[in-house]
Amino acid sequence: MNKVFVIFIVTCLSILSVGCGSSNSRVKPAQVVEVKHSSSEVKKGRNITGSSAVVSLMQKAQKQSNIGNNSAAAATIERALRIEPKNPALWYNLALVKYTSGDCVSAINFAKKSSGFLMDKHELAYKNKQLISECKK
Amino acid sequence: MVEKKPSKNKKVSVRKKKVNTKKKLSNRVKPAAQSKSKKTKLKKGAAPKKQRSIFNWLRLILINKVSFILFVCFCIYVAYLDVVIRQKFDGKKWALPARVFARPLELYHGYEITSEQFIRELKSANYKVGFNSNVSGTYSKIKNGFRIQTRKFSFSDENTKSIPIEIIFASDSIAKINHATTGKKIDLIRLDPALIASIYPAHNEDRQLIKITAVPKKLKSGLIAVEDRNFYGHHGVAPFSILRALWANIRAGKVVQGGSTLTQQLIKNFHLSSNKTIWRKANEAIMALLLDAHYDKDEILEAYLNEVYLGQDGNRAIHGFALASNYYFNKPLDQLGDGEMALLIGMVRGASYYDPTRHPKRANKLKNLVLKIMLDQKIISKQGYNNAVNKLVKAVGKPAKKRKYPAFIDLLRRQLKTDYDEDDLRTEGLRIFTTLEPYLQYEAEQSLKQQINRYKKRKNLDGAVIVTSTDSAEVLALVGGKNTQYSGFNRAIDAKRQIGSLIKPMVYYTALDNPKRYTLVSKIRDEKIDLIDKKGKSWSPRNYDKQYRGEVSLLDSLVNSYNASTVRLGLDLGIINVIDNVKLTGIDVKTKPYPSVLLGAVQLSPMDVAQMYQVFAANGYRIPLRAIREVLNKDNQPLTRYGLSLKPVLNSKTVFILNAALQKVIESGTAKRLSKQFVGTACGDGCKIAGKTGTTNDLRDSWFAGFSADKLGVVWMGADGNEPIGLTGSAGAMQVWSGMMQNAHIHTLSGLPPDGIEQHWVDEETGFLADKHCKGVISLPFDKDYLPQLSVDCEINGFTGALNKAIDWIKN
Repeated sequence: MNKVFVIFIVTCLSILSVGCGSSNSRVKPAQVVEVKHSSSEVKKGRNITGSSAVVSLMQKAQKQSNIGNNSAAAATIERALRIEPKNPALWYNLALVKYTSGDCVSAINFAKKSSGFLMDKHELAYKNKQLISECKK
Repeated sequence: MVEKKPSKNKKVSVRKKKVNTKKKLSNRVKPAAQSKSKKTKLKKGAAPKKQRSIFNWLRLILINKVSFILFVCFCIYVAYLDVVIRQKFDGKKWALPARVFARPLELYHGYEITSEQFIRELKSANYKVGFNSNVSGTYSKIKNGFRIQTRKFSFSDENTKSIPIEIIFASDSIAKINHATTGKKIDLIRLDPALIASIYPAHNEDRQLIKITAVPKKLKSGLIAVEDRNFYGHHGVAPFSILRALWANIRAGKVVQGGSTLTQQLIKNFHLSSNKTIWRKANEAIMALLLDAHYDKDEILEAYLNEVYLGQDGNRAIHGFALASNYYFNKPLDQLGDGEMALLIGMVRGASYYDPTRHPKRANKLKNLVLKIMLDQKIISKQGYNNAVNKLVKAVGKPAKKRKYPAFIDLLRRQLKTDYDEDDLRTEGLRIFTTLEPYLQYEAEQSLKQQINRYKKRKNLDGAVIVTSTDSAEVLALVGGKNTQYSGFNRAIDAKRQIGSLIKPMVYYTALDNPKRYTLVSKIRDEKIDLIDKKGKSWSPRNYDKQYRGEVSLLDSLVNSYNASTVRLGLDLGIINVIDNVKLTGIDVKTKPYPSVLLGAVQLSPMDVAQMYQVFAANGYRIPLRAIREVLNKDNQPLTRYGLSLKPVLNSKTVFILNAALQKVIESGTAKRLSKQFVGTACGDGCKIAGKTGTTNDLRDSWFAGFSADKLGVVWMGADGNEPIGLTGSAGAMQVWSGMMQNAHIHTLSGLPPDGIEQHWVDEETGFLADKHCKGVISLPFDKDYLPQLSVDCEINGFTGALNKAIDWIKN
């Protein structure tokens, strides 16, 4: 049986505060931290879940991002997306990796794509909006 | 000392004399006789000794001068050879072909694939039956699954190891993956990808480079023992060996032995022709000496191991031990047995003559000879010798010479062309990772072939198929024609044909994107229409069944592909607006806004159509179709990554509404035959697919474009000469689509609407809001701000309807 995971972005705000235009932000890794299943996150049948295969890939992406290899991290998240193409958390993480590597246009598009799988009030949809507004600054 | 002085003076005088004589010769004929008499006089003269000494000196000086010039020339020549040999060694030693790989198969719990398809994947990656934990690339079928010894492989992000795994299937998906020895659960494993093509340098030289440190010691020692025992002792040339060979050859009366060192052989392979001339031998010797002076023995040996010619596969030349090992035995060098190693060493003497696939007896004899030398030189043990000498070495079947995926490779090369020179592709040893799914490619090819075979009498019938993933737009399969191994005309990319009704979704998208004015239940007129252009030419599009229904809803018009109502709608919207929306999907449509465009009088390829429908399938996001994931250099460093990129180009809410209508095309419209065909497949009985059929005038083109949640497919059938083929979209192309997608593990489309879209029950006839328990109602998506204004009281649909209504009332 698949484990249920919720993938939070704990350093989201700190990264966002730096802003897309700042050159310092380009080297900061995207933080991808997995948190165990929380029922409050499951809304209207739209769970943010990850199979064990996806979770292992996200852990790998996190490591790659930590050492500043955002290109490899993006490639790993794309691998995860081939397994779960409708997982909004993966699209969000891809947006975040693009953001940290300074590609705000892609970051906005991926964040929008992520929100396309979510209800407006979902916490992740809120984070997507934040990311988009930071990028637009 | 005393004598030398006058000689100098004489030298000058002789020179002067000579010049004078030449002048005289040029002026007159007579002096020739004079000079002759002078010569005679000199011979008979009083001081012949003195004269002789002059001539001796003259001769000596001339000889010295010529020698000196020759020496200088020789030095220049040697310097030239030195530059040549150093350039060859220091720079790029070999032109390396580019390797093209399919997508690697990622296995995890829940991955959907049948056992047959899985075997096909393993075979395409050259896995051999017969699991052996000592031999990578082997597998066996076990109860409910497979046991596999994977291969090690270098990806851009990791080097995977060869491990034994056990995969358990539950129906048509993977239930469990364990390490076959430890039993440890494996979450995800990426198998080494199938090599689907190589882009060869000139002369089709193929090789895999190997470092000297990775070459088994036995192989190195064996080669030296057989070919050049004093390799580490000589300076590139072994004079005694040459003399020994010369003596043996004289005794035999023919060439029976060679005295070339490994260094000389390497030079021969590098630069020179196989002509056995003295000149070539001399060149070889000089270059060998130079090479030996400049480089380590191990460097020279490494070059030899990579350069040597070891066989021929069609027009592909097999060079180097690493490739030969894979080619003949399907194993890396370090997994070769003693016998196999001995055979490869022996084959250096004549790769064609001792080819184990064509001359197994001769090859085994040679193997035994080499084994004996290896035993004598104590490179192998007596036991090892006995084991190998009695075992017949078998070369595995040669790889298929047929071109496997010509249409896909064609697409790949076109996409690579934008970033890489043709020369680099052929020589730099690039590693190209593509998106091709071998099992799905097989399903697409088979389905097209089967459908075409059903109409054998229509000799000119052909087709093309493209399958992509909906959310990443990776090209998973591409078929360019019924002859799937023919690399000629690639219909999937180059057949630009009228697309007929496949354009209609864009007409309806344009309408629905103005929700204030159009919803799925809005009524439009379906009446005969006559249009006259500026030149007075009339055009009267008719419905396929030649019937007109007066007034129809947008939904009905699209689902049943009515022409008259679509043209009326398009004219109302503005043809140019429809064309602009098509362009937004990334297609370069070059057409004037003629009304016929509204019925698909636009010439597009299956690939173009796929790009357009990709935007529908991805909820309004345009993602360029990709055949390449990344390109690495020969040292495995990433050069280009073709990452996912997307852009919202169409309104996702409108696309959701349109897709709901395209699902109705399959549920109850022109493609309703399709929905029944998916009952019982992995997609489920209520499998939701969106799609559209397309048929052009006189049944010249048969089209179908459709998508599930995860895969998009576009199929075209027609004749290259544009003759009628007698097939509608649903009778031809749709059947090909169905055949392949039934085996493609597609997933049903999600019915969950995005924010701002609400699902409502409406009366089919009036389009008014209605109770879901009523007769003749249908659930449709609407922009929440533009719901139908009116509702209708309707007849409850029988006893069940009444009961359900009562239950709903109690619940609320």
